[in-house]
Amino acid sequence: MKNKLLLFLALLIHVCVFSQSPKEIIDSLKTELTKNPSDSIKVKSFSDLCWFYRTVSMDSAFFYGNKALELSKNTKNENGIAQAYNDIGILHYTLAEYNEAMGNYRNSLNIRKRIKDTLGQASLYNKMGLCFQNTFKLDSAIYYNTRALEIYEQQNKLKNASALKGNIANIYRGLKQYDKALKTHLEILETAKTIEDYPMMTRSYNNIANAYLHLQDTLNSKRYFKQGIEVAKTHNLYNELGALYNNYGSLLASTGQMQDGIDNILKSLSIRKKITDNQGIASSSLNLGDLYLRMGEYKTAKGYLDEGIKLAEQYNANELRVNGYSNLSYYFAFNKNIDSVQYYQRKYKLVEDSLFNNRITREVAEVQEKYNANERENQILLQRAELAEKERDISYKNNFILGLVALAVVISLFGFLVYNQQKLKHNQLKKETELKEALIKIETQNKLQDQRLRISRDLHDNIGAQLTFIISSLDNLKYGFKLPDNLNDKLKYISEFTSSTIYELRDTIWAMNKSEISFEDLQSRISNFIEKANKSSHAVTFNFNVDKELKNHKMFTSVQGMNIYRIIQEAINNALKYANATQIDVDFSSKNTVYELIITDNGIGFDLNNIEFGNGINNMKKRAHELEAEFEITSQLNKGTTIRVYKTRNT
Amino acid sequence: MDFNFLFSLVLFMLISILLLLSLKTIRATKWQVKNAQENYLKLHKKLVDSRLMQEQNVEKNAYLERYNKSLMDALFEITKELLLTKKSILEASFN
Repeated sequence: MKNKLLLFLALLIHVCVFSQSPKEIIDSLKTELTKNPSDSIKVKSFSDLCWFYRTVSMDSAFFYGNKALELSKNTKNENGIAQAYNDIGILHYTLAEYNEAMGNYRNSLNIRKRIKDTLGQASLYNKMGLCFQNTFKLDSAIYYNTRALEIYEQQNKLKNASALKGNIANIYRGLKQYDKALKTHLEILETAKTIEDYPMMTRSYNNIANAYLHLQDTLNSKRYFKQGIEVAKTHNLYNELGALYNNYGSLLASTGQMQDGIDNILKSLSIRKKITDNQGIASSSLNLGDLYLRMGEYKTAKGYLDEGIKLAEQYNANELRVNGYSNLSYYFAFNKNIDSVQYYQRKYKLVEDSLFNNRITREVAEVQEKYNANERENQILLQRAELAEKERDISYKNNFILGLVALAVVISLFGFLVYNQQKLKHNQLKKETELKEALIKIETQNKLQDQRLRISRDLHDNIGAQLTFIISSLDNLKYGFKLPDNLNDKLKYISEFTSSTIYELRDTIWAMNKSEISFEDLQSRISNFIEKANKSSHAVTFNFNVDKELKNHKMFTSVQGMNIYRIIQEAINNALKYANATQIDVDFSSKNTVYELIITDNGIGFDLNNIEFGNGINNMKKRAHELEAEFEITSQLNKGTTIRVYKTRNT
Repeated sequence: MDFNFLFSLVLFMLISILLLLSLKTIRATKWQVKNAQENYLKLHKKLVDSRLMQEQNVEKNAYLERYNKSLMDALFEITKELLLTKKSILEASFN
């Protein structure tokens, strides 16, 4: 709410200010300040005082400008600071102190950039362009005006943009680049037509016609003058109409249409007198004076020339004065008034020298500007070269750093790989050594065991030979000497016992000499045994069956083979000795997860409840136990006996 | 020759050489692992075989120990019977 009130008050002050003369405005602003308003209103008032004092008292204007700046800085009012710098800059510009003006404009510009006041920036660019234009730095002037123009065009401020284009076109005209000036004026004309700004339109027609005149295209020049005159007449634009008639009249006179020219200039003079455009009156009067002189109407010419020169001197219009003095000296020469001729010639010379000096100064400034531009370009090129060199150095440095980093990474990688390799090697060697040590230990033990086995084998061979000798000696004794029956029986018993011991020994040697025992080995050994047994009794049918799968895969260790052999041997022995069996079957099979050995005979059998097992059955049980297997025996009287040894598959 | 160029060249060469060495090391490590695995498997198989043989030998020796004991008993029995027979024969001869 407070802000709205302040805004309203500011608007009120603004409206009041613009409806009064500067002194009245200054008084009203001072009265407002005595009411002790807020800081922002004070800043605005100081700023307005600075602006309106500009046409009354420069010192006071500076005083209030600085007060506005100081208060804005104290209250951190950035808008106020920017405006104060802008106002102070304008004051310096008015005093033609362009460097100081530029300094203030730059300060203001920096702040407006910071607070993103784009229109404010455009206004400052325009003012800076004017400063450069006035110091004949026309390239810079065009640059700053173009920047301002860009902003106005972006913001669609066509009127401002056209005004700026007018400035730029004037600069081109100053640089005698009439084609560029013409092009710019044509653009302004289009804009004026679009926004229906008729004063701007007529000024554009005038400027375009002048540009064509400079380009020596009188037809187009005339056409645009006429169009301009029509528009100015329609919309009562007397200022512009006066200028247009004057210029058009000059053009007509220069093409030989003297009377038409005079008529147009007379119209211009009449309009200008009506609107009290004194400079315009001077220009038109001097033009008329010139034309009447050329037509030989000296008296009429003198009147216009006097009027024109008076006003030109009053408004310090030097170019008009030069023409006036020249024409007057011609006039007095015609009247043979030598003193007056000398007098006006001297005046003419002085003003022309002044103009010439100005022109020279401007041209020197232009040359200087061009030189400065070249210098600047050279400096820019040098700076660019330095920059490029620095960039190259930085690029080299970056490459070095990257290279060094890459090198460090690669070294680290290589180190890691070598370390990993060595670690792996060490671990492998350690494992290998452990295995080798275990192997050596086992092999040493195996050698010892082998030695023991060899000793046993030697011992058995020796004992076998001695037992054979005993049997042989006993047979010699039995048949060589007539011994009593009891002794013969004794010798027979010893012989049989020794034989069975030898058989056992041979079986053991057979088993111990093998590392593994197959079913074929077992079958052939048992078949041998049956054959020997058959010799001592009736004929027996013997069947040995092995499952195909078992035959292919199963092997026994020598001790396992020995135990199985002994079980089968004992079972066959019992079947032959006690059961009078005529058929014995030995079956090895594998059912599901169970290995089975079944020995069946068709002997007389026995009643399991009425029999006491002897050493044979107990030995079989013991051997089955050593095989980690179960032992089962089934028998029925006159139906034979079945012995089953079985174990689960995992062993 | 430009020092920067020389430095870059040396750097590049060093990196290249080290990368080559790294690749070589990786290859050597792989070969080493493969070789070591093969050796380990061979040794392990040999060890298993030796252990099996050791078990069999231990089994055989245990069996032989038992068997030798029974063989000694049998030999003692035979010797005893032979001496008794000898005694009987001598008694019969002198009576």
